[in-house]
Amino acid sequence: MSRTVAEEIATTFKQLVIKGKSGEAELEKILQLEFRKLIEKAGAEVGRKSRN
Amino acid sequence: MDANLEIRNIGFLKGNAVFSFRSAKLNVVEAPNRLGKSTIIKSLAAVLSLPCKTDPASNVAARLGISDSFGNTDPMINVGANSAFIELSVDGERKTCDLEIKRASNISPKGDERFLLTGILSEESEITHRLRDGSGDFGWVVASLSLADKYEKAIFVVEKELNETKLKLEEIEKRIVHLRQAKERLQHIGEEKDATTMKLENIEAKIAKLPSKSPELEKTWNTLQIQEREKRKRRDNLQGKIMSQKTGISTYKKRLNTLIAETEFSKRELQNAEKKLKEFPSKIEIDNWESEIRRVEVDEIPTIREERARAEGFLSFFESAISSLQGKRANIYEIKCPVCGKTVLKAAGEVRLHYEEIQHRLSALNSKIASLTMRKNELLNRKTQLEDEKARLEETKTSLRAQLSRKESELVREKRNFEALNKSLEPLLDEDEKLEKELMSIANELKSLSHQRAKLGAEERRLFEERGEKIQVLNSLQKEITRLQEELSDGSVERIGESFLPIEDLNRVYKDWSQTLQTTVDLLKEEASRQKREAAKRFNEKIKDLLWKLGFTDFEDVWLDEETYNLNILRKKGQRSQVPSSLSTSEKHALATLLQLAVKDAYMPENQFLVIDEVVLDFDRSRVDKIMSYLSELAKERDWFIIMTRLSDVEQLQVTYM
Repeated sequence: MSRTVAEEIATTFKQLVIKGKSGEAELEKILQLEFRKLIEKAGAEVGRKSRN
Repeated sequence: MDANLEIRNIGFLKGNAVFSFRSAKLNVVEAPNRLGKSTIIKSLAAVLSLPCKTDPASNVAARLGISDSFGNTDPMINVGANSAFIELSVDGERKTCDLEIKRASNISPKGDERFLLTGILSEESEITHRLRDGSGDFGWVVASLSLADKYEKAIFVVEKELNETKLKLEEIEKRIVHLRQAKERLQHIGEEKDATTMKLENIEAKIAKLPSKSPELEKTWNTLQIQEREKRKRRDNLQGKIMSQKTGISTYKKRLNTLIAETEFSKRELQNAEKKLKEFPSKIEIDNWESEIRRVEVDEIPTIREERARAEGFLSFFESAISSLQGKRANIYEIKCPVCGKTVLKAAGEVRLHYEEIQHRLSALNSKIASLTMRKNELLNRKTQLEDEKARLEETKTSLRAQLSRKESELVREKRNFEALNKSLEPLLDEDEKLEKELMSIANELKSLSHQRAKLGAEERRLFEERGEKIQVLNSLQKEITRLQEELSDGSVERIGESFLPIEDLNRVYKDWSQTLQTTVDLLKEEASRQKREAAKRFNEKIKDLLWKLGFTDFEDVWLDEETYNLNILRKKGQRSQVPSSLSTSEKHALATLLQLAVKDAYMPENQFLVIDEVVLDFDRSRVDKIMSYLSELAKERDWFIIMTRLSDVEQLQVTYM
């Protein structure tokens, strides 16, 4: 799973570079977004377990 | 296509100067020392490359004297002036640098720092500098001029996030160990409590079997024992309730703290927005700008336009004078100059001289009008930008104020709930304390009754002492159990954003994240290496091509190693390759020229400018001639502006086009 996410991050960054952007600020935002997704997913799982 | 370079107060040149260059030509700038050759190089370098942020471009900028080691452009400004200006216009496109002492320079549009590494060949260029020092390490070429540089920066960002994640993971793992130890200790204490309770019950059974002295006493004794059991049971239940209430309060407290932090954050955001709004130029300042815009529009531009119209009139006068001179020479030999009103022009040459002077003046006036129009547009743009920014900030401020007001009401409500929850705990704690006291008093009463129930011997006294001790131990074990339960409840959950996560789940999330980041770093490193290898390959192809085109027959091959990025030189097939430090000074200069042309063609061919200081072409004449003819061909083929400065004995700086 982590490989897929890493590949997505690297590919998005590559596209930014190809478009001529430096990509650093965008990369920081992408990392924040991916981390938030992981937390939300874990939070949803915890919620589902507690409901069951 | 023409390129006009207009400069004011740059380097040795005080005041204004304008230079014209032609594309598809080798533009040779000739002058004696201190007449502005270096100033032209500096001006072109500055307007095409600044601002520089990274090495080695910043080092080249410092060596060229276009900025100091802190990136300030003060070294470029003439020592007798406080500000300077550079403008390069090519085919209607303008690039400008506004420089002021001890102020950040205003460069529009921003240049590309790679130009310093590709488009300038002088004693200060990175390639010349490295080869002179005998260094064969050309890793900087592939790192700075390929996309690898961007990947390296991205790797730095991800590695920083990875390190922070690893630190957080370490902290979580320590907390998990601590919580596991607390759980084990809780279990151990629970077992100890059960064993102590059993022992207490045994002691009480033994005490109950003590011989009876009177039925009344026995009745009281039994009643007290029943009471004690009931109260203890009640107290156990009560402590369960207290524990669950405390857990609730602790969760609530965390929520309240988060809410307080969020409210504080919103307050700070609002203060920042208000501060930014205060820093905005006042209406008076904006009015001043507007009057300056009007002044430029209504006064300055029309005045210069009038002057231009006059100049155009003079020009047409001189044009007709010249044309008349061609036809009726004798009649027009004596004319009065319409500019000064005095001079009587007697020769065709003088008329032509006046004509050229007026033409030059007209071109200066046109530039001035263009520069004033630009200034007016800049002011208008800045005003619109500021007004937009102000409106956006006002909107943010309103939304923050609403957000803050919501948070504050929520905080008041939650504080009230928290206080109510705390208050509801108080009667439970009071009841617990009361029960404890009652139990102690029953225990004392039972103790005194038991003395009366039997004539106590040493064995009985020991039983009662033991009973007292066990009760004390039970009390302290209960306290420790409560403390550990609180610790476990506090530490086993963490709030991240909107989610409350059990610490084990959080640990899993951080482990996954750490693996993702590590894989991302590996992927970006692979891509950076690929970019570097490809850049080296491209560079090597260009070198090979140039070796042949420039007829560098004394070198069989020159190439960058695609793994180490070290420069290798092979003189003859079958021989060992050499490193740059083994070359002679003139060979180093020749190689620097070749490599600079290869770098320019490989990495920045889209930029039309190539600036060469002829000082570096310090090698045999036939080779210099070959390079000059190649440059002339290259300029035509690519439509480049190749500008070469040359030391000469001419009186004034002059540009010739080859």
